[in-house]
Amino acid sequence: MKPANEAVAKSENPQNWLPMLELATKEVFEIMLGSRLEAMSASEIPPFTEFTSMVGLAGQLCGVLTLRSSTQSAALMAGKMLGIAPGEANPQMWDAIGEICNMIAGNFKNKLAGLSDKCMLSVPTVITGADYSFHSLADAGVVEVMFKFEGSPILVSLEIQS
Amino acid sequence: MNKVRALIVDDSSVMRKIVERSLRQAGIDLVQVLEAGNGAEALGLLKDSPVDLILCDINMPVMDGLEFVRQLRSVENAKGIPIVMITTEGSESHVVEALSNGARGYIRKPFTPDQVKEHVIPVLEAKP
Repeated sequence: MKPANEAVAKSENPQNWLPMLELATKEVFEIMLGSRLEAMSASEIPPFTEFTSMVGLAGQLCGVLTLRSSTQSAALMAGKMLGIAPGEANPQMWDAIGEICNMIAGNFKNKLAGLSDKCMLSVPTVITGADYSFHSLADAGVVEVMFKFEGSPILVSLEIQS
Repeated sequence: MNKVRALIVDDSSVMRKIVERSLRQAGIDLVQVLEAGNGAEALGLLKDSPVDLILCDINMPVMDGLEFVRQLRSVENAKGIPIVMITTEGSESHVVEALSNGARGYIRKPFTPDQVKEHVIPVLEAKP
């Protein structure tokens, strides 16, 4: 049995979590937005710098989960969540993409056996714009999943600290 | 079912709207919907505005849902209001704590309107 404070990233290969991160992301989009995500190959991926939402994880699993998308996709996510046209949802884009990121992080950690009580989430932070650099202290690897959301790319990354 | 005054407590305004829509889709006749962005705001609203149902997130800034539920026990005109937690956190200890402080149920995000119906209707029907 693992000690209560032992990081799971030390005892497990984070790449094994890829299917769970994919499933956690797909479930959030299907249930909350009514959208089925399509797989996307790495070669199709353009730079993601317009909307970045982040949720921190602390406890047995430490790191940061990010959701990146274009402004157009963020507006579409907000519109689908609220049942309104994307153009009318612009004021709610930050809130929507932050909440989606939060739900993906929560859904993912709840799928890791025994982790739900030993890993806490931060409230989401959303960055907009392209002129920034992202430096995570995570040192135990990155798990990434890429999808097409209504034809536009989104990227979900889990950067893990050992 | 009688007309229902609901208080929705969540730091996400988008999520508050989704919860309201889900309650209406569940067939609940909402006559008034109050919204609060955290537990402290919710306690302030309840001083002057009685409600029949509270739906509350756990992970919020300023005052989280667990502290809100704890403090609600000492608010005289709020005793007996059914509370359903709606949360991303699947933490069993959080759920147990919320239930032991008076919450009647919990729904995990992401959720469908059917799940809201399944959890909220029995709580309203059981209300004394």
